[in-house]
Amino acid sequence: MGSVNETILIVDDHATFRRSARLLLEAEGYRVIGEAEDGRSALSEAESLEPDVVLLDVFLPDLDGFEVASELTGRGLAVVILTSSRDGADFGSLVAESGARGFIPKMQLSGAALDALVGS
Amino acid sequence: MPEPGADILVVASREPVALEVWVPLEEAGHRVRTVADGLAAITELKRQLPDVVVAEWEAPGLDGRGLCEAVRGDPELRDTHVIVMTSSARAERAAEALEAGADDYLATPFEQTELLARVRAGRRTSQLRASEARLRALMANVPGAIYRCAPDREWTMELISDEIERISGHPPADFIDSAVRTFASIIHPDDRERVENAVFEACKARRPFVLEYRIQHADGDARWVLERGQLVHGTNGRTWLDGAIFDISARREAEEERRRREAEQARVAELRASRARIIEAADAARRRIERDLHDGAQQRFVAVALQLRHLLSRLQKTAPDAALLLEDALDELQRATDELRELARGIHPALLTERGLVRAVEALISRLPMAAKLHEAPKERLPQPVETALYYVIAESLTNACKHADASAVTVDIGCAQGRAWAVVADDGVGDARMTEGSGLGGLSDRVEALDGRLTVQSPPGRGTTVRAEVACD
Repeated sequence: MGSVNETILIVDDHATFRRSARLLLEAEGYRVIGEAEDGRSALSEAESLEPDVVLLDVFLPDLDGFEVASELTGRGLAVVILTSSRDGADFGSLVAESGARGFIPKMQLSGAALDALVGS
Repeated sequence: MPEPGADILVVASREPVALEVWVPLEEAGHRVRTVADGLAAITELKRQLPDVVVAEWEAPGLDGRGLCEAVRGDPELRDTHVIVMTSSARAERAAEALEAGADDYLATPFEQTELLARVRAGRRTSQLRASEARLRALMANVPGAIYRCAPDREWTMELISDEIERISGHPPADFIDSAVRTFASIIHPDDRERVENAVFEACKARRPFVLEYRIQHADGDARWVLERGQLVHGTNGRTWLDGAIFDISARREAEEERRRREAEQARVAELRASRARIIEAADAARRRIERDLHDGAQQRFVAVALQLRHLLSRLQKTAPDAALLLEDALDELQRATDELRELARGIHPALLTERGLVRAVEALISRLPMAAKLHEAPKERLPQPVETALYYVIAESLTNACKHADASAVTVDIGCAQGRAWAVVADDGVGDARMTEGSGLGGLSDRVEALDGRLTVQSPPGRGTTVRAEVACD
C-alpha cells in the first residue's frame, strides 16, 4: 500500500461511521489522527492537525460538505475525499467543483479505495 | 302686483263677437289670438297651447260642443282651460257646455269685468293644472313609489304613485284607504315589527326615517325596498307620513351574491390551505421517515460493512475460504443497502431538502437513460412546498418520458417570476398521454392545485408531450 502512514482526519456526524472507518483504515495502514463531527470543527482540526487526507461526509449538521471541501482545498490544507451513504450520482458535478480529489460511497470505503484516489 | 299677460285663444265666427272679447283682453295686457271656427282652433291649440280658450258655443263647422269634446279627448290638449260663451236666453246651454267638457261659461251679453275675471280665474286653474301635471309626470318618472299615508299601523294610503304596482305587483288603488289591502299586509311578516318601530321612533324624535325591508310581491317572491319618509304636521293638527319607496332588490341580490361569492372564495381558499397543510404534513412525515432510515438502518449497514471489510482484510491472509464467504456477505449487504437507499429516495428525495430543486432535478436527469437537459433554472431556492410539488411533477414526467413515451430526448425548464413558479417538461415521444384520475400526474394535480396552481398536459399524438405545472410562489 503506497499510502502507509498517511495521516487522515475523519469528518462525519455519525459516531459509528467514524469508529468503523477508523478501525478499517488504521488496519490498512492509515494513521487516523483526528475525528470531527461537523464542518466547523473539521476546519479547525485540519488547521491544527495538518492531516494529509480529510475524509469528509457530504451532509454535515452545520456547513455544507462541498463548502468545507472548497475551503480546505482552497487553503491547501489537505487532500479531500468526499463520502456519503447516498449515491454519488446525486451530486453530479459538485464533487469536482468543490476541489475534492474524489468521492467514495461509504459502503465502498477501504484503504485500497482511498489509495486509488489519494495516490492519483 | 299686476299679473303678467296670459295667452288667450278666442274662437268666434262673427267679427263683432270677436272684437267684443278681443279688445278688452288686449287692453288688459293679455296676448290674444283669434280664429273663426273650431277646426282652426284645434290647429292653433296644437301649434301652441294657450292658457285659456274663449269659444262661442254656436259656431259653423266644429261648434263649441265639438271643440270641447275634441279637446278633452286629446291627451295633449285635455288640460286646456275652456270657457264657452252661451246665449243667456238658453239657460240649458250652460249645463250642456259643462257636460261636454267646458270648464266655465259666459252668458252673452256679458260685462267686460266678468270676462276678465273669468279669464283670470281660468288662467289660475290652468296654471294649477299645469303644475299638477308636472307633479304627476315627476311622480310617474321617479323610480320609486311616492306616497302619503296615515301614521297608523296599517299605513293607510291617501296617495301612492303608480310605481307601487311595479314594485309590489298590486295596483295603487288597492292601497288607497286600504280599499283592497293594507300596505302593512304586504310587508314581510318578519320585518313588519321592525318597520313599525323604526317609523314610530323616527316620528317621535321628529326626524326622517330611512329603512330597508322586504315586501311580498303579488307573484309570491320577496322584494327588498328602501323607504325614506317623515312625519308631516298639517295646519289643522292633522299628521301624515310623506315618503318614497324604492325597489332595491337588484342591489340586495348583488350584495347577497357578492357575500355568497366572498364566502365561497373564503371556503375555497381555506380548503386549498387545508389541503396544502395536509400535503405539507405528509411531506414532513416522509422527510422524517427518510431521515430515520438514513440515520438509522443505513448508517448501521455502513458500519457493519466497514467492520466486515476490516475482518475481510485479515481473513484474506489467514483463512482465504472464509474470506470468500465474507465477500459474498458483503455483496449481499451492498445490495440490501442499495435497495434501502432507493426505498428511502422513493419516500423522499433527501437531496431536494438538502440541496434544492435544481440539484435534485440534475441528479434525476443524470440517472436517465436518454438525452436530457435542464434548460433554465432559478438560482435561488424556492419555498419547500413549491420545490416539492415541482420536483414530483418533473420526476413523474421524466419517468413517463422514459417508460411510456418512447422519447429520445427531454428538456426541463424551471422558472420563477412575479409570484409564480413553474416547471415545464417536454419530450419528443409518441404523445397521446392523458392525465387521468389514478395516474401519476392525475394525483400530482391535487398537489399542484393545493398551491393555487394548475397542471396541464399537452400531448398530441405523434408530437411529444409537454407537462406544465404552475403554482403560486410568494
